[in-house]
Amino acid sequence: MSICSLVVYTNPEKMEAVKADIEKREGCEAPAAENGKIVVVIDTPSRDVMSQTIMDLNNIPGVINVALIYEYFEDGGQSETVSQKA
Amino acid sequence: MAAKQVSRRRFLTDMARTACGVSLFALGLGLYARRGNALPPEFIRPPGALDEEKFLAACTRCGICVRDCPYGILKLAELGGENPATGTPYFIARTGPCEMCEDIPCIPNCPTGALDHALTDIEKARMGLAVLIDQEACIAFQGLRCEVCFNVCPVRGKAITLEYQPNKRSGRHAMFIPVVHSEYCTGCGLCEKACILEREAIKVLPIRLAKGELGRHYRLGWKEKAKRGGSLVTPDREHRFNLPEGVEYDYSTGRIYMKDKSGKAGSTADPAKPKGGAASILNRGIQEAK
Amino acid sequence: MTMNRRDFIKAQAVAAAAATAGISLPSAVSAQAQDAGMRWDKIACRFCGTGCSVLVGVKDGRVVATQGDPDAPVNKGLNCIKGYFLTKIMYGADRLTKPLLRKKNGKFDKNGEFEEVSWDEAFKIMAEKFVEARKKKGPKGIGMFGSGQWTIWEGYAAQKLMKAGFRSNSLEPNARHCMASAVGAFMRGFGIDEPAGCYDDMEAADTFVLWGSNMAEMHPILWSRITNTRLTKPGAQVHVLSTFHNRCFELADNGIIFKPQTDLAIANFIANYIIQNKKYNKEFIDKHVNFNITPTDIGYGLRADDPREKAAKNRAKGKLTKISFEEYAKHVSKYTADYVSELSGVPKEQLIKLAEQYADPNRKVASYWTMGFNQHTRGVWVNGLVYNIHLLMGKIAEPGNSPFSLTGQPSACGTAREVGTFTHRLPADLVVKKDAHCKFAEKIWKLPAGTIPRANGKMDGKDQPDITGKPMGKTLIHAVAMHRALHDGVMNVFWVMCNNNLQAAANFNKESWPGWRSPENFIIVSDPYPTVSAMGADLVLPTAMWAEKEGAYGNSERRTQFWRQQVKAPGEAKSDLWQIVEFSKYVKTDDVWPAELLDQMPEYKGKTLYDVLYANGQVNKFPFEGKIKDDRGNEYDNDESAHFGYYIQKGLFEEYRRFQWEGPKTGHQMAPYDEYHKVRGLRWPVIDGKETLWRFRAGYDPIVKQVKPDAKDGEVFFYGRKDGRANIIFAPYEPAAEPPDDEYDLWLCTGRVLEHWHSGSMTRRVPELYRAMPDAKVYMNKKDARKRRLRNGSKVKVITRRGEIVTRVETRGRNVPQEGLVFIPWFDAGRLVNKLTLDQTDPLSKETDYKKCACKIVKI
Repeated sequence: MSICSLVVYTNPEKMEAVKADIEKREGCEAPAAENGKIVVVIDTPSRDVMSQTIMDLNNIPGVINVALIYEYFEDGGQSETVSQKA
Repeated sequence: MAAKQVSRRRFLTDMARTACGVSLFALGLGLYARRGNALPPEFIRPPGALDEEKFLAACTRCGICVRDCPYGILKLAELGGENPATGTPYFIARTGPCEMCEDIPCIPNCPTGALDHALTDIEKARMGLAVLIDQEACIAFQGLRCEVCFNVCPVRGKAITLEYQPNKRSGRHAMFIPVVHSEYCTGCGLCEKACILEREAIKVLPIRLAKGELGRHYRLGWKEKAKRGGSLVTPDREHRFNLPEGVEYDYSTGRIYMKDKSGKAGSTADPAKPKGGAASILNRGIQEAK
Repeated sequence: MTMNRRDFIKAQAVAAAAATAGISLPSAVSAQAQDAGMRWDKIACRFCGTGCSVLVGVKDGRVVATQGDPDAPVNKGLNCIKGYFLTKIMYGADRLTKPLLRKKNGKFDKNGEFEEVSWDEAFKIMAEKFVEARKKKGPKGIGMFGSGQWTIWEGYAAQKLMKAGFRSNSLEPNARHCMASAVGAFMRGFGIDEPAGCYDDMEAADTFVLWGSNMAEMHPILWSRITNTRLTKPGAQVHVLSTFHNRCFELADNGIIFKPQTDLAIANFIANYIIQNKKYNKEFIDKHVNFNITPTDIGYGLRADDPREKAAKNRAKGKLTKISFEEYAKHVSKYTADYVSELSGVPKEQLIKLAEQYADPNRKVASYWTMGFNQHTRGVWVNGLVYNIHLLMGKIAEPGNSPFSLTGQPSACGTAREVGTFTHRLPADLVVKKDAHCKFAEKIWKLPAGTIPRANGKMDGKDQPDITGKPMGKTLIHAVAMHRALHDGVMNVFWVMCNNNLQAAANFNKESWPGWRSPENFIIVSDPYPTVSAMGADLVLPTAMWAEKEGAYGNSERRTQFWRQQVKAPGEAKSDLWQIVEFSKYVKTDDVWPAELLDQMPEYKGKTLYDVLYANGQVNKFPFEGKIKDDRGNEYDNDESAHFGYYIQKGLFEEYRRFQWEGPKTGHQMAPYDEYHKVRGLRWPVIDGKETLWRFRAGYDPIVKQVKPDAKDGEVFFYGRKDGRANIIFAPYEPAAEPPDDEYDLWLCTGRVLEHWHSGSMTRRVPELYRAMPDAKVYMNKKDARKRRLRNGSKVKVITRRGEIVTRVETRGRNVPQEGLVFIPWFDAGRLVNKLTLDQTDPLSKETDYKKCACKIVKI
C-alpha cells in the first residue's frame, strides 16, 4: 500500500478543470480545493505507480506546481514508514 | 528498493523543474486575470451603484459615501496601483453587511452620480444577489430547523421565502428550504453575515455573477397566469366524469374519494363507537401514527 | 466508529496537505480524520421540552461533535439550530470553575467583591445561613428555587433535602413560571398530571390548532412534523391563534389574531357552537364527564394591598361546583359568534371555520399550547376551556384527538412535575396538603411521621412542632411569593439552582432586585456561567452541566430519557446533584428538627442530613464499580458516584420509583433504572416493559383495567378521578389586570426566539447564535411605529409603570404584532425586559403572566 498527499498549485481560473481531471485518474482523489490550491491524495498499489502518477499531474494544463506533503508506504510484510515534509 | 529510490529522486527533481517553468507563466496570467475582473467577487458595491463599468468611470474615489455610512461598513478598495477598482467603495457581506438605512445616507452626497441619486427606496437597491451557493452544507437541506437567513432578511418573506418539502428520509418531518427571489433581494448581505455555518452557505454575489437567464423564447406558464391574474386564453370549462356509484373525483388533485352516507368525503368511523372492537382502534392508531 | 486503516492514513495525509496549503477541508473529510478515536453515545438535547435525542462524540475528554440521533423517534436525526450547536454550550470562555463568595477583609460581606473560596468554606457559610434563617424565621425563612432543567435525580434529591431535611416546603422550580397553569388544569380536569396523547398525534390528526404557541420557533422539530403532515395528508389543516403574527402563520389555513385575553371567549364560543349545532358527543359526556363551574372574579395574584386584589370578590378561589349540562349550556350561550367577534377582533368567519373543525365528528383534532395559555392570569381556566371542547366531542385519549400542553424545558415534566419539586407537591402526583400522602412519603424515606411540613402545618389535626418552638403554620410559598418574601425580609436565604431567576422573574426593579440585594438576605446561585442571577448573588457555585454528569430528562410526551456522563466538568465545577447531597453533610438533624421529632427516631440524633436522607440504606444500596460501562464496551466516568462511593443516581431513581409503584396515585409507573440506558426513552406508564402511547383508554393504557377490571377494550376511564369522569369546567371571559390606557397605550408581550433558549445563558455563548440574533428588539406594527414617528431601527425607550429599557424598533421582523401590541424577547441580558413586566399571576396556578401588561414607547 502506498499513499501520499500533495498540494497542487494551479492557475485559479483553471482549478476546477484541473480538479476534475485529477479526479478522473486512477487512485487519485481531490478532497479539497481553494484559491487555486488543490489537496490531492493518491492511493496506489506501489511507489512506482505513484511516482508516475505524480509526474503525470504536472502535465495537466493549468498546473503550476505540485508539492509532496505526506507519504506513506508499506511493502507487503515490511515495516511501515511514514515521512512528512512540509 | 534501489530502483524505487531513483525513481523518487527523479520525480522530485522533475517536479521542481516544472515549477520554475510554470511560475513565470503564472505571473503573466495573473495580470490578465486582474484586468478582466477588477473587483474580487466578495466586494459588493454600495446601494445605487451603476453597472460596474459605468461605475468605475463615474466614481471619483472621493470616499464621501464611506464617510456617510452610519454603520461604517463601507471601505475603499486597496487593490494595488494598476487595478482600476483601487479606491472605489465596497463592503463585504460576511463581516459587515449593508444595514439598509431607510434614508440611504451614502447616496445623496455622491458628487458624480456613481451612486444613483434616483434611488430613494432602499428596497429597490440591487447591490448584489444572495445565492444559496452550497446546498450540501446548508443544514436546512438536511431537514434541520435553522432558517436564520430567512429570519434576518429585511425584505421579509419576499426576498427569501421558505419552501416546505416533506423529509423523505425521516418520513415524518418537513424541510424548510430557503429560496432567494431576485425580484426582491437587495443584496444587503445580512443573510450571509448571519449564516451559522463555519463558512457561509448563502453568499451575496455581484449580480453579473449570480444571475442565470431563461431563454428569451420561453415563459413559465403559471407565472404568466399569476401576473395576468387569470388564464391567458379562454379558461377551462367545468369537467364531468363517468364514475361508479358512491365515488367522487377531485379534478384538481386527481384523487378518488368514497362518498359516505352523510355525503362527506373521506370520513372515518366514530371514535367513541369503534367498529370491530379495540383491536381495530389499536391498529388504526399505530398505522396512522407511522 | 468504523474506519479502516487505509481510510485513516488517507485522512491523515489529506489533513497534513490541507494544513500545509492553508485550505479548510470540506466537512466530510475533516470529520473523518476527526472521528478516529471518537466515542459516540446518546444524550437528550439540553434545550426545550421536545426531547430530541442527540449523539455526542467525545475525544480527548471533550465533546467535539454532535449529530441528531437517527434512531430517536422524536427527531429521527434532526436538530434545530440550537441543537446543531450543542457542542459549544459547555465551552463558553467564561465558565465558572471555583466557588465565589462576596468578601471584604477576608470575611463574607454583602457588599464585598467576589473572591474564590473552597467548597468547604462555601458550604460552611451556607449551612450557617440556612440553619440561622430556618431557626429564626421558620419554614419559609429559607427557600430553594430549582428547575425543569434539573435531571430527575437532582430534583428528587432537592425534594428530600428541603421537604424532609430542612422541613420546609419552600421548594419551587422555574417551571412555576412555565407549566404551573397546565398542571393546575390537568389536576382539576383529570385528577392526574400530563397529557393523554403523545407526539404520534402529529401524524394521526387531521386538524392542528395552536393556541398561544409559536411552535415554529419554540418547538422547531415538532413543528416540522406538523408541517409534514399538513403537506402530505390530504385535507389536513392548521389553525393558529396568537396576539401577533408569528412564524406559524406561514403555514396556517386559518391564522387568527385576537385581542389579548379574549382567548377565554373564543374557547367558550367553540363550546357554544358545538352545543347550538347539537354536535356534541352525548354518549361520551353521559358516561365520562361531569360539569362544573369555577368561582369568578378571583384577582390577579398581585400583592394583597393592590386595589385590584382588594376589589376581587373571590380572590384566588377555585373550588368547583357541580352543574348540569343544561346549566353549562346556558353559561356558554352568551358566547355567540357576534359577541366574541366584537370582543376579540376576529372576523366571524374565522371563528366559525375554527369551531367547525372541532365540531365535525369525522375530523381528528389536536390542540397545542404553551406559554400563551400558561402565562396567563386565567391560565388554569383557559387550559380547561380547551379540555371542555375536546370532552364535549369525546375527542381525547385516542390517536389524533389530543389536547396537548407542550413544555418549554427539557424536564419540566420529568423533574418539576413528576418528581413534584413544587411547594405543594411530592413525587408521583402526591401533595403535602394530604396527611396520608405525607405519611406515605415519610414511610418510603424512613423518617419519623410528621417530618414533612403539611400545607397547613397540622398532622392528624394537631400543629406540627417546629425548631423555632412555634407551630409550623401555613407552609406553602410559590415562586413569585418567594421573591416577595425576600423583598419583605420573611425569607432570608435563597438557593437558585439551574436557572436564571433574576433575569426571568417579573418586576425586576420593584421585587426581585431589592429582595436579592437586601442586606439581611443571603443568595446562593449555582450555575455554569456568570448569569444575571450570579451577578445578584452572594455566593456563586460553579456547576457541571449536561454531558458532564449522568442525567435523565422527561419530555412533553411522558418520555423519560437517560444519558451517561460524557466528559468531566472544568475546574472545580460540580453537578447540582453533588452540590445538594454534599451540602447535606454540613447540616445536622438537631440543627433543624425539634426534639419531638427526633424522639421518635433517636438513632437520627446527631446525624447529618446526609446520613438520614441519602445514606439511608436505599439510596446508597447500589455499588459503583469505578466506571460505567455500556454494551459496546465503552467506559464512562460518574463523578458523583465516585465521590459518594455508590451508584447514587440509580439509588435515588429506584427510591423515587417506589412512589410510582407503591404510592396512592397510580399511573406514573416507570421502568427499572438500567432499562433506560438501553432505550431511546420510554413513555410512562411503563407496565411489563411496555410503554403507553394514549392514556385513559382500555387497550392502550393498562392502568384502566387495573382500576376497572370490567373495562372493555376501547373504553375510556379517567382514573385520575375516583368516578372515572373528567371535569368540564365553565369559566368566563374576564379582563386582564393591566390593559393599556391613555398613557401606557400598548400591550407588552414577551417571549422567546428560535435562536436563543430562555435567558440565553447558553445560546448567547455560541458565537454563531449570537451573530444570528444578537439583541432583543421591540417588534412593532408599522402603523404603531409611524404614529410615533418611528421606523425600523429607531432607538427607543420602552416604559411601563415599573421600569424602562432601551432598544431598537423592528417593524419588518419575523413577528408582526397587531396594532396596539409590541413583542420583546427576554433572552437578552443586556436589556432586561423583566424590568418592565408586572408580577401578576394566575391566582390558581400562581404562574406569572408575562404576556400582558401596558407600556409606552418613546423615541430617544
